[in-house]
Order: sequence, then C-alpha cells, then structure tokens
Amino acid sequence: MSTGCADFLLSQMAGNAKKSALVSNEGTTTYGELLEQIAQASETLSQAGVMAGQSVQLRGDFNTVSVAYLLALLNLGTIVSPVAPTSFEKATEFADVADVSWIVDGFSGSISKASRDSKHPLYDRLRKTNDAGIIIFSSGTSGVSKGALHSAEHLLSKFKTPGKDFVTLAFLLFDHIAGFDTLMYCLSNCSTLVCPTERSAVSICELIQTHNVEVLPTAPSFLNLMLLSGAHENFDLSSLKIITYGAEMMPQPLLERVAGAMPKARLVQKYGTSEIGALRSQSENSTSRWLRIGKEGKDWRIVDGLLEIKTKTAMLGYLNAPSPFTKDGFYKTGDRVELRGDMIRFEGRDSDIINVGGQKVFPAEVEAELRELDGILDAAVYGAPHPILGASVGATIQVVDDATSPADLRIHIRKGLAGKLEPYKIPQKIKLTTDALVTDRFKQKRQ
Amino acid sequence: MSLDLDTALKAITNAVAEINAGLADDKQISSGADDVLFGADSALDSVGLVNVVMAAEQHIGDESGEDIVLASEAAMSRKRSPYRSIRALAEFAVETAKDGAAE
Repeated sequence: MSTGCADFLLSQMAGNAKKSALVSNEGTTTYGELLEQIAQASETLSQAGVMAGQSVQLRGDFNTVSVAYLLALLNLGTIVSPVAPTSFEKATEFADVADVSWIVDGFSGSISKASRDSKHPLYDRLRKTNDAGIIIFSSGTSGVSKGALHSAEHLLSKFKTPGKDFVTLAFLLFDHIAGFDTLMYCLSNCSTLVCPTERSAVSICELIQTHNVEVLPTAPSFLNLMLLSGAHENFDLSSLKIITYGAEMMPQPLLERVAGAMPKARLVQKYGTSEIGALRSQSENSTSRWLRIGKEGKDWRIVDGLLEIKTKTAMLGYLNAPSPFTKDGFYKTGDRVELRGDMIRFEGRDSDIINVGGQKVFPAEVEAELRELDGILDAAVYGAPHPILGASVGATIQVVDDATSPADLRIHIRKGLAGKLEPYKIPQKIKLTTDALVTDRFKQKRQ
Repeated sequence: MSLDLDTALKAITNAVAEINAGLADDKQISSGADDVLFGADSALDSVGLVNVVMAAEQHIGDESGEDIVLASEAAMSRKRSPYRSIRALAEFAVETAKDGAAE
C-alpha cells in the first residue's frame, strides 16, 4: 500500500526530467535520473519486505541514493529517521529510541533487518491515517537525544505552494530539520542542490564559485569562520543572492561584517526547531536581527519573556520525553525574545544549554565525563560568550592535589576526554582548584 | 608585568602542544611560528581555532601573569587576521597586553 505523500514532488520532477537535481564533486544527477533511482529504491524496499507503518533508519547524506530512499520510504508510508555521518556514533541509540525494524544505508543502498518492532503509541496515530512519519533527533537535557516524531503529510504540506527556483548549497545537515527543509524546498521547485562532501570555508566557497550557487543556508559560526579565514576573498562569490542563517545567536557586529563583505547578497534569518519544523519568516533587513514569523496571538505569543509557537507543522510528540506543548497547543521554545511591534528578536536560551557554534552542549554530560578521570574530584561546566563560536565551554575542576603543573593537568584532561566527547564539547577554558565546587546550600557552582 | 614577544611565542607554542595532545595523529596542528595556523589552507576548524586561542590565553597567563583576551570583535575585524600564524598571534598578544597596561 502506498500513501504517496511525496507524489506531488515526483510529478514535479517528471516535468523537469532534464534539469540538474543534485550536483557534487562526483557528478550530476538529473531529475529524470533521480526519478529512476526512486523507482528502483521502491522496488528494492518492497523486495526486502519493508512495509508501511514500519520504523526505518536511513543512514545517509545529501547524495542520490539517500535522497531516492528518503522519498521512496516516505511514499511507501514508513516512519523514517534520517541519520547523517556526523551523528553515526549515535545511530544505535537513535535506532533504539525509534524502535526501528530496518536500517537503510544511503551510500551502498543496502537494506538490513533490525531486531526491533516499530512499536510506539505515537506510531499508531500515524498508522490510523496511513500517514508516513519523519523523526528528527535533537539533544535533550543531560545529553540524551530526543526523537521528535512528525507527520510527513503535515511537514511536507507547505512545499505544495510553489516557491522560487535557486541553485542552493546543502550546507545544513541531512538529519537536521533545517537540512530537511532545504532539501524539500529545492525538490519541490525542481531546483539544483549542490552537495558538499566537507564543510570547510574553502571547499564551500569553491563550490559556490564552480556551481554559481545562489542560496547559501548556513550558520553564524560558519560565516565568521569564512571571513576570518579570508576564503571568501579567493573565490568569486558574486552568484550568491541570499544567505540564510539560523540555529544560534547572530552577533550584530558579525552580521554587519558579513553584509559588508558580501554587499550583493541578502541576509535572511531563519527560525525553526526539530519540534515545530522550519518556519517561513521575514527579516526586517540584511543588517537587522528583527524577524517576523507569522501573526502574533494566532501563531505565536510571548509568555514570561519566552516564545511560544503554534503551527500545523508541529511534531506529534517526542518518542522519549514529555510533551513540550501547552494545553492549547503552543510549543514552548525556551527562547527568550524581545518584542517590537509585530517583530521579535532572539536574546538567548532560557536554560543551561551552551550553544557552541550551533551545536548544543549540556553541562551535565561534560561534568559526568570529567568526574570519571583520574585525579579529578568534581567539575562544574558553564558557558561563556565567545566572539568566534557564540559561546565557549568553560570548566572549573576540583583536583585531588595541585602538585602537578596546571599545563600537565590540562593535557591529562584533554587526552582523557578525546574520543569520549565530541570536540565541541571539550572545555576550551579549564580552571583548576582544590576547593569544593558546591555552595553551602549544596547547589552546584557553575560560574 | 609586561609581555615580551619571546614569552608570548613560547606560551602559544606550548598551547598548541597542549591541544595537539588531545588530537589524532592526522589532525595535529603545525607548531612552526610562521606556519599557517588558521587561514584558507589550514586544517583547523572553528572549534579547533577557539581551542588554540583560549589555550594560548591560559599559557600566556601562566607564563607572564597577564590576563589577556585574544578573541575579540577587534581581533576579528582586522584586515590581516591575527590568527594566521603563531607569530602573528604572539605579536597581537604583546600589542593587546600593552594596550591593556596603558588603560
């Protein structure tokens, strides 16, 4: 049985068969070729016995095989959790949370049976309406990832309205909500998606020049990195019409430097979360962080300084966490905002989360790893504003004795954390002390 | 206490060694004073750059007692990036320490 929620995309593609769909260093796939690959992927899935309503993990990236399987899986009516290479180390944890029955490799195209059962009360809601699902994972408190389950029908509905056709760079990740949004926007307008194999400033600038990229959806920390490295001066980036940014706080001076370095490109802030999808929004102008995201009262409201959003594209719920919705259906974003007329401006997150260049770091997770190391009694991890990454990770560490030199202790800590935590979670600033790290009321001192 | 160029160079070289201790063999940062530290052809990413810069701040503090900040809007908006080499960063550190003392 096919639910065909991606059929509207497939019929668009059929009318644009000769146009380039995906471009990478390995070559170009046209929309006609992509359609053939989707048909082949559908055939392979049905031969393997993959059925509607089952939970399937797709380990892939922006490439022809992965995109073909993603669309084939959605059309078949499965519940898909995409996992990009940057999250492969968490793939097993994600497979457990999503209780996946199948794992599809988006590079080789191989399909393997997983020893799980696709069971979850929220999945039953999708099955009742024969709807496909999409699971987006995001970091949760204490570092455990939360799986947000979306109805594919709802998430894809906004792409039925025609948009603009731009050559777009797939900078954001395949398993992030914003990366999914970039992909679907491009496919729904039969635009060309340029797929990077790495995301260094030089390789991204080179791709923009080679393929005349018009839209670069990115993050403030990448823009900062690009300006610092000077890579933008070595390539012709004049094809760029729009640069979108989101995922983290954009410092006003950086926004102005980007606008100065690339005066022809329009700078547009985007807003979205794994829970509510990527919203259509409008920046006041290229050097403004003020943003319109729909109608106040109906689509959003501010409660105690924090933004709450109501949208049709919201998830059904988390697979492994309590509902973050209010009784009347607003999602509590946890983002602190300022209000001016009908526009909002983001001030930061209302929690302990440290946002390092768009990646979330939970102090509790880092503290737990630090406490495992020899010679360390306790640790308090905190975020501090940083002009390059938005925030940096700092740690105050209580050591057993101060006989070892600070530099040697720091080396011991860095070596001990390497391989256990992702590089962006390893404290950049390490303060050593022999004093206790709890206050006299037994609350942890994080500053 | 003021900061001289040799002390700054030594401190930053030690900072790079500290960061290298936690990196795989194929990710090692070159420790020559004039090698490219962060630029169009360097392997360092933004997290790597911040690691080096903040470790450098700590080592300069250890060596000289100077509490200086090497990552700032002023540093990033310079025409020639102070992060292009260990030497450029050391020169920037000396300059920053001087400005701090003059205030």
